[in-house]
Amino acid sequence: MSEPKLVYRIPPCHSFDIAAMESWLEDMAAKGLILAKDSFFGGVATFEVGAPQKIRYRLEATATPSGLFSSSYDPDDDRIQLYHQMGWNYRGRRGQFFIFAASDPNAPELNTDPQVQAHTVQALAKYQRSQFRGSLFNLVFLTWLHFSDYFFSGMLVLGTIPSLLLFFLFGTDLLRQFVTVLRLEQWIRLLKSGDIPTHKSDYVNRSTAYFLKRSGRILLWVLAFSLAVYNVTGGKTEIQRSEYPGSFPFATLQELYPEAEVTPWDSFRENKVTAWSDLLARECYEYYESSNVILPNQAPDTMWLSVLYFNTRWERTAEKLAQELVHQAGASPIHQFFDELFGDEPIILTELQLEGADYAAYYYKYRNFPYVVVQKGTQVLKANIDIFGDKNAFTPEEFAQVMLESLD
Amino acid sequence: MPKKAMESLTESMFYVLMALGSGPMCGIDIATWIRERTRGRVQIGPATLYTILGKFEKEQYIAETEVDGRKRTYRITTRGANAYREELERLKLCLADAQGKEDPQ
Repeated sequence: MSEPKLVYRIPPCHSFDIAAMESWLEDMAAKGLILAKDSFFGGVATFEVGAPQKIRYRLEATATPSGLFSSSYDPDDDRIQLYHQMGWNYRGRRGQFFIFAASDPNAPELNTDPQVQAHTVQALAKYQRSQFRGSLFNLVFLTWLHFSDYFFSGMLVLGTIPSLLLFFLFGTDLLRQFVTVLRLEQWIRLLKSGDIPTHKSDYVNRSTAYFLKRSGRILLWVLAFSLAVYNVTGGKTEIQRSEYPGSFPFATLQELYPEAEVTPWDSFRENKVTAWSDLLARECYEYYESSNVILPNQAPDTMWLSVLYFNTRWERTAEKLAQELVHQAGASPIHQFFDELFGDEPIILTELQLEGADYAAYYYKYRNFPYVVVQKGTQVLKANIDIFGDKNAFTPEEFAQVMLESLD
Repeated sequence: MPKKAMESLTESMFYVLMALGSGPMCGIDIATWIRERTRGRVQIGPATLYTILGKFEKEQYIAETEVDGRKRTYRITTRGANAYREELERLKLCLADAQGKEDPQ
């Protein structure tokens, strides 16, 4: 016996639009497309091509988890057996619904008592509420816990457009879950009042809008992730510092030691610069310099300078960024709490009053020489200099002052 | 705090207890018994029956007596029999009230 020919179709409605799903499957069967066993994968339905048939399809709510590979959460065998004995065959599941089919017109309806059906829907509503709470927790609490100190700097790394897109998509997903819970509650009320749900729906008129919404959403997810991955992995050009054609809006080792002969280690892989721009900041630099610095009549010093620089569109963004850069190092209450909890070395932060700076500070943590964070107008930088030996070292205040003066 | 029993039985629930009151049965036998007893007036769907059996088992109105492969047989418990009798009394009172209204004699 030859294998039946298979065709694949995307449902024209959301999985929670039960009457529409049932109507669509019945219409497909009338056209000779019979839903195959375990037919849904990644939201696509598989049909076997055969003779047109009159088949009733019914969806039954389930509170078991769903996913791409949902067959592990199929109904119990005794349930499948009982339904089969009463004329209904299990075909698979889509999302939170088991799909049963009956070709016998005399088979009783799957649900004959709306008040009993309300119990099943209540279990699903409970499950959806817990899913919603979980999503809310993830989105709000974990975002705050992990990213409150990375909001603007994270956006500048991922890119503002993909970051905003991701926020929008996660936010609307959460909203959709909430609306689903409300609709389930409404359904439960109707069932409890004895209302028998309809199995017919004019899904065709709504299908275009559904497909547009669905494909638009998928496109947005793909776009947001692609842009974010591109920005993180290869979207920004990283070049050898010596090959950078322009000058930098902050002091380099040569400007820190104007009297010295500064010889970059061009072979050194860390001697590089990444420059990019974003909606939030017109100029962004990640700068690493490793050089031999020879001051007159002195032995060479090996020095490393790293600078993270942003020239933001708005001064308020620069203020927030400066705070984030300090907090990321461990100055936030959350970091301090965990440092104390795990007996970790706490950050030593000193804020400076420098003329011309809107904010200036330096901090130590595991470093011989501190980082300085300086904000002036829309410009903000975080810089660190490492020097073998300390004869030519700046004090943290001096280093912050020099970096401040180098800003426009 | 003791677990609150079901407040009232629906018609399907009532008939499931009635069926099991006549002896232990599996799911399909319950559905057939109800259909025959009511001469086809009450047809109980598989999803309704499965949900009721699950709920009754949880409430200890019924208990499983035998599992033969994928077939499960149930019997009514004392608790279930009491619930059935209470519902029967309530329905008798309803009927008496209705008959009283229809027939002032």
